[in-house]
Amino acid sequence: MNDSNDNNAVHEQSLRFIGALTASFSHELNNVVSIVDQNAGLLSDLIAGARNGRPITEERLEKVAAAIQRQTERGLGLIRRINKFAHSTDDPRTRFDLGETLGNLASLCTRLCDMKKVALVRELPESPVTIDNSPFLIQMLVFRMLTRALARVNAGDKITLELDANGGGPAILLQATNGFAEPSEEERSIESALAKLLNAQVESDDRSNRILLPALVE
Amino acid sequence: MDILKALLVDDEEELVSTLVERLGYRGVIAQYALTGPDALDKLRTEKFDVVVLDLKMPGMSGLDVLTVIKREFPAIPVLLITGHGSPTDSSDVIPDGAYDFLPKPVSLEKLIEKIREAVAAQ
Repeated sequence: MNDSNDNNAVHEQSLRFIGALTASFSHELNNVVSIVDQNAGLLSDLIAGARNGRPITEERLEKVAAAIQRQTERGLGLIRRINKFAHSTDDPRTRFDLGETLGNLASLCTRLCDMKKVALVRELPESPVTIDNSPFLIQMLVFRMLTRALARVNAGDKITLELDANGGGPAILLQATNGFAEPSEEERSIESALAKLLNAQVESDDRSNRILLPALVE
Repeated sequence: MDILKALLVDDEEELVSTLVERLGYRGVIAQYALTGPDALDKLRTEKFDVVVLDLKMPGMSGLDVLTVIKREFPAIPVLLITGHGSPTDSSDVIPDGAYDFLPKPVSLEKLIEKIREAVAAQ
């Protein structure tokens, strides 16, 4: 593929990536809203029951309130994460904390992993790993690798997302118990186009994919 | 009205447990299962008039569960619940063997109406 074809393919795949994450997000938010809706309905049922002589206990009301509170927090967490992801498209290149961005992406991908009964383990440094690059394209490349790992997993497998910032540039390492699905020619060319846009090197073997990113130049 | 016995299958426990309680206030005795295999176990040991099945579940999908139910318990009507506007990700057609589908969030009144309709149609 030439550069123009590469850019078109990356653009098309960007839309698919956004679609995949937002579909998963909206599905989970729908569950949250459903639970709040049913618990609000349950409160009405309990009040109606009390009017008809079926007493409501404090414990029962507290239980319903706690369920609504839990789901509200879950919903707010989802919204915060998708909002952070949405803002990763603001600038084609910016200074950002890579560890935080990968952590956010991992949270957004948790449901996709749960559906396959796979644990997504994060080994990310606590202190910020600041780089100057495209947060969106990095997440897209990691997501593509994660998708290839998910295509091969068995229930109970583990996928590890690691960020190693000791050394030159930071290295993102994705390891999967059962390895990664072999990329098609098209997938391979999109991943290498992404690596080129990120000025990154990609190394892969049977069980791992590593993205080596350029270090921050002060 | 006849008392009906329903099995709700969804991995969101706070959702199905609340639905079970609310259905109970309305004359539908319901139980829930959080996974496809749990649901099949329950169906093999108890008699239910209807199954309400979420399509998107971890591990065994709703469609896979539907296939087994239709093979082992062809007389039990199955209502599908989906977070999408259509029965499946890619199609507006109700999958073979399902009586109907309801989008989430589910209206309780609509669910009861569909449960009664599905059982009456058997």
